[in-house]
Amino acid sequence: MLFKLSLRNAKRQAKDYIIYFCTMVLIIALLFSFTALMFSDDIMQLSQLMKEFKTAIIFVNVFVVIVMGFLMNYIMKFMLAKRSKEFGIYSILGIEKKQISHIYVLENLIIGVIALILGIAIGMLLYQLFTAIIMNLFEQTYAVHMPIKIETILLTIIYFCVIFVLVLYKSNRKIKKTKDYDLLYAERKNENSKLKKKRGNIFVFCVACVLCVIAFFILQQAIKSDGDVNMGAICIAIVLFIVGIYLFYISFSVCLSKFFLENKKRKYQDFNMFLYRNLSFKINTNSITMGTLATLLTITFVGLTIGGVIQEMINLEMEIQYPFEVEIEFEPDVDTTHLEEKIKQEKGFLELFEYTTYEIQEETQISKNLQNIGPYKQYMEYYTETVLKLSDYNHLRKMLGLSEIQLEEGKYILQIVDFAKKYLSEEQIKEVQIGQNNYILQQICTENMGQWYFNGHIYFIVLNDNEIEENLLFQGEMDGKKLVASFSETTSEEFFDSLQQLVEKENRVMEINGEIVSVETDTAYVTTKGNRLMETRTTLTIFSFLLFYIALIFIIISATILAVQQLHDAEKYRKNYDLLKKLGVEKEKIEELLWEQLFIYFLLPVVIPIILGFIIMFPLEQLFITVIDISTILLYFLKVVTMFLVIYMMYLLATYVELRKIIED
Amino acid sequence: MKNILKLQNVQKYYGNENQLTKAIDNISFSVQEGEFVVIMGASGSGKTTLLNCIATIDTVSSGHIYLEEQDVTELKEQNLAKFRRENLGFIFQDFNLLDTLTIEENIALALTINQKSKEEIEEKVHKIAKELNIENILKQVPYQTSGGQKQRCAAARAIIHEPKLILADEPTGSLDSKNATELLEILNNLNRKHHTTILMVTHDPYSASYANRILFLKDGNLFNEIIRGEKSKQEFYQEILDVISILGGDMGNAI
Repeated sequence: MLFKLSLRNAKRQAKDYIIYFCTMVLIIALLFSFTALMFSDDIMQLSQLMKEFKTAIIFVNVFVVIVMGFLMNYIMKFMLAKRSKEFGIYSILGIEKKQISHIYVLENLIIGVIALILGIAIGMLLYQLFTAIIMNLFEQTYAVHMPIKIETILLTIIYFCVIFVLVLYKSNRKIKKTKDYDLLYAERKNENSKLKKKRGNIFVFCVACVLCVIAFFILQQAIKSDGDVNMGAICIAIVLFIVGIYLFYISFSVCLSKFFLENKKRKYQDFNMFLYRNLSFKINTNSITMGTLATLLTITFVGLTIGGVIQEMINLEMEIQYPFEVEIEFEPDVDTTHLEEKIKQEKGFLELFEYTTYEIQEETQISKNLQNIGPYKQYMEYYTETVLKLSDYNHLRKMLGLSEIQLEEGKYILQIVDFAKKYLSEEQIKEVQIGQNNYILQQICTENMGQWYFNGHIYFIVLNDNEIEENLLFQGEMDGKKLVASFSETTSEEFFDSLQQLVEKENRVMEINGEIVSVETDTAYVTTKGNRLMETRTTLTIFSFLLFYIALIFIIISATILAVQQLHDAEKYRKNYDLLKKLGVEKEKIEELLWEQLFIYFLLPVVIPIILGFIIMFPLEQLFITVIDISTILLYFLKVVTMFLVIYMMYLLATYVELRKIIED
Repeated sequence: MKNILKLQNVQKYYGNENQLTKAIDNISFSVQEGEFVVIMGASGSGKTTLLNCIATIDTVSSGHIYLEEQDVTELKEQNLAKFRRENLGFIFQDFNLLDTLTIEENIALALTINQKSKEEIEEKVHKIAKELNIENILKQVPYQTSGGQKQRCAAARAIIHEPKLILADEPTGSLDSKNATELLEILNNLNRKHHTTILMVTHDPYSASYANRILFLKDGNLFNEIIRGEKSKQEFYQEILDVISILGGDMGNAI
């Protein structure tokens, strides 16, 4: 009988928690689908690096389980507070606490198991979707099938049980320990609100702002453009930011009321008084939670943006680094015939070309020019100039499908990576000394011809064949032999492995820290685009999936906490809005007010992360400045925030609809 | 004196064809400007339903309710809110103050809804607070004040926009006798000095004895009507008790 009664009560309250329930289902679904990915043979066979994916998923899953535990604990506290009167009455009627807590556990278990079953069902669909996306990324066909292993389901259930047992144990103990009086009058406690003192809080507010400004400058100093990153300073900046965010939310409610309610005209205008008193009261009681949410969201925004930018950077570098399918660099005396034969046998082979790059160890006007530019300093320290013969250059151009170029007597061509061009002053490199002669600039080209780390670093110079042959200084021992091959299709990982095995090893005598040691080294350095593509693709897939996973969890948890906070007070809102109705406020106006109140409340923990995140992007730019500029980063940031807001808005709308239903009942 | 409120054959039914509950069977009466009228009746006699119908919160099944010349039963849904905020003032049993707002702001709420200027709001709030002796608690939130103070604040909110009619639903129900007397004196004062028309629902004979006229409801019908006239309060109180005993003794649980 008691259980029946309690179940009915639970059902009545369920609508307040429907959003929480949905979030739980979603988290379980994500947890399940990622666990399934971890156990999936399809995915693991894609690439050798996928093993790393498995480890990463385990770590992230544990993290998600912990976060979910916090969420459940938080919500349980709300539920308990709301039902404590009911439990108090049971207790007064002579039902033992033990029995009451049994009922509570059982109710929650029923809800939990339903969420678990639904979560697993949706998780299976999500898993199919994720697998299809990953397969598509690796250009493999994927037919939907259900190879979900029993381990996946077991592990998900274990995750769930661990959280559930811990959370229930806690609330169970709370029921048993709370006195009847406190159970009966728990609702009243929340009402004891006093207006906070103003002056202290405005001081705290100013401190929060100052802390954030200081943190910003520390961050800017910590990340220098020459690639030095001071980790200690970054940690200090992060701590300052977090403290700043918390202080901001602690003091914010007072500042809000100061702004809107101190000025009498603004106060009595429209419904400002009603709206901002309600808001500042609510923020006041939840300032710590708000601070936590804002911190989480700031981390999410910055993390997602950095992740996206790193992906963009890797993709960009891939493109400029590997214009040819196969690139081999070797010592002049090494025999490469067996390598060449292997390459020629491979499917899709088109053409093979061997040439020499000439290195001079003297600075030219060009490298001096780039040295002064912050981002390229680190690349320029031990720099040698790389020179190509015009005939070799034109052959490479032909292989890449580019038009040949005629070079006039006494002139040179500069082949530079596109993003570095803007740092060059054409005036200063108009005439440069290379070796013993002076040459005049004919033109600057920016097509990808391996000038990023294969033929030179950042750029190479092209001279007429006869200039090089006449100038003996070019016959240095630093000269590199290069071999490139073009293919009609992307080569496989196995092809790279077989080439790698053909590379002969040699023992080289080296001096390391004053000691003479013999080190085994490769005589040739082989890269294939196919292999690198597979590697980066794997890394990027792992990276972006996990990032997306964590971010999504953070976002839905934040939105859920806000939604539950609002729905928790639904009864109170109903009373307030009912009064407004009796005082003669139109229904439309009431709905508008409700929306406004929810909108501002949801917006608050987001505004600071968006502003802070945006500002933080500027010092972070220094990390990527060699390849990517600030506009790309900001664009990425914008994308991240938009994606976030879309999910967030859905929660906001759901809360609004729920609350409106309760209020208009 | 002109009629400010006139009810004509008002009926209110609940339920469906099989089971019909007549909350108000057939009631007609009128209230004149400056009158203090009390509606008395036992629980379930239909007095709150009647008040809600007059307040336009509930709709009648048939009949007409006129406030001055306006037939409120004919008002369209979208005009109801405007009608309420301009013509009516409410006092509730459980005060219905917003606990996030200060006493001052609670009183001002009715005026902000009518979009008055800040000068007007401030002036009126202070004037009325002085009159109701709640000046010293204006900056406090309801939680910090006593029940009597809360109800005086609610009364201030109800009258601040000078409505044509004040509707009070058991306003003394949550107050002790001292505070109840204080509130009734205030209502009495308003009625005498400012000729505010008050319609109060109660089942407490003591509260009712402050009225000019009392209407007794029983099972949705007007059962009796007594007028104070020149009688003293004590005499009037005695008369009320007599009617109640005829009515069937029990008026609820308040006596």
